Amino acid sequence: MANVLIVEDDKLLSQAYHLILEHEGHDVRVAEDGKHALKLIKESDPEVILLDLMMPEMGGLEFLKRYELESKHPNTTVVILSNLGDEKEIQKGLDLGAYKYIVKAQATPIQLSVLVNTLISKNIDKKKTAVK
Amino acid sequence: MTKKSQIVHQYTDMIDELKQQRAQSDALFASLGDGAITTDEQGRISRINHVALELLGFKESELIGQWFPRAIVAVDESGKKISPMERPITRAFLDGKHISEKMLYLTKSGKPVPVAITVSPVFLGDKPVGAIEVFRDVSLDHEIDRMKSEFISIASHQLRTPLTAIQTYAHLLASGFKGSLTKGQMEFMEIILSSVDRMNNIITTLLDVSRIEAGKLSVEAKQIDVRELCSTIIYELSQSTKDKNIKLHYAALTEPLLVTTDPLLIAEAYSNLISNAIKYTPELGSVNVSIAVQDNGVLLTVKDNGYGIPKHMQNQIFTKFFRASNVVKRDTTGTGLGLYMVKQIADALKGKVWFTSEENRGTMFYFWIPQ
Repeated sequence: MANVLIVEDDKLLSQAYHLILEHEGHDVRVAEDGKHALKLIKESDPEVILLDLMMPEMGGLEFLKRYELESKHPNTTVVILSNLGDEKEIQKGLDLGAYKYIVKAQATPIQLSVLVNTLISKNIDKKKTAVK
Repeated sequence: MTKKSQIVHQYTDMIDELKQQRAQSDALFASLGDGAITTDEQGRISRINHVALELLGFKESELIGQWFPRAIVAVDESGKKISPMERPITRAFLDGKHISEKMLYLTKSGKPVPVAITVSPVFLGDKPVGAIEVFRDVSLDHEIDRMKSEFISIASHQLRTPLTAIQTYAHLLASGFKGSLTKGQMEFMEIILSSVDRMNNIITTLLDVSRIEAGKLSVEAKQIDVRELCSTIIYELSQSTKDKNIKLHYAALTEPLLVTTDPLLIAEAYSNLISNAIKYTPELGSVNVSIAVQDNGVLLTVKDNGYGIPKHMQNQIFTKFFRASNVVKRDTTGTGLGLYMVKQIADALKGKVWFTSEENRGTMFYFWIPQ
């Protein structure tokens, strides 16, 4: 079980991702844009963030810039889930520290939950190595 | 009437007739809706109509008698000046052929204007005596193209969002999230999912096209093994050949074939050509794929014994949204964008694509990229 944050403004999609991940036994929170996500993160750091890019108030790329993923949150993995499949957008997201970029329309819920589980087990391995 | 006055009379008639023909050709030249310029055999401007003058911002007296390639400057898309030897007017003279091309002309004030031009050499018997160039301002066509691409891009993104919701919830239902489905319900669910997949593929293609047209198709070259790439694509397409009972033969090389090129673009081009061959070949047909090293590059050959391309449509086959009439009757799912994409990719990779085809006998596509 892990702490997962979904940052997605489309309620139908965030609800579906919520259902899938909760079913897998994860502790899931939902933010409807980048600003809301920054607020929720203050309470506790998630292990995985599923991040949309085009959102009102604060978009995904702006969120990544403010979040300073690598320096301040080394145990968090961000996966961008967006329907903007443009190479430049993908590169920008990866440059800002995202682990992977997935075009939402091309991912099934099963693939998504498998990905989250894999990332979490990798994170656990990382922590074990650090303790040793 | 004496013989002498008879000859004078005949000459006067001929001169009148010539004057009349000249007046007609002047009126025709002046009334053309496109810009028109004629030159003598040395490329000096002899006539220019008012549309051309208006478009280029010159006065007639500033151009008459001037050497065309110097008087009217042409540049390419990147703003680089096109040399006199490369100009269509020079090439039309040298080759004695009609030439149609697109480029940018600089007006007197230096403003670039996109133009579509056609140059024809003028012959008197076998002797070239000049050339005529007709050109049209295509700024509006460019603007419409840009707006169309922008529209496709926005519309595609907006379409993807609800489609993702349909897909995600349909997958949840299909995987028994809200209880298990009956066999009949499952069949319907699979139809929904495969239709969503089809629509997703159309949107992805539309996005790729709009990206190409906005000049955003960036080439990121890496070293790849095209032998393996071809095997992977053929493996991915093997289900569709089984469904149609088509023999797909791949003459794989014995050694890996390494090429430095953009892996995503090349995969898209190969996949389009091979899947097209399967799509437009009837049941029990055959498709043969091979790759070989040729002319310092790699040549992919895809041969089928399918429907073929009607001769009168062969020159349109790489045009956007074009679909040949003989396949439209048989298959309604194509977008007419696949071969357009292949051509754009060939250009982006500095390669070539061409074909030979005979209706009801089959088609052979060639795709060459430098190694």
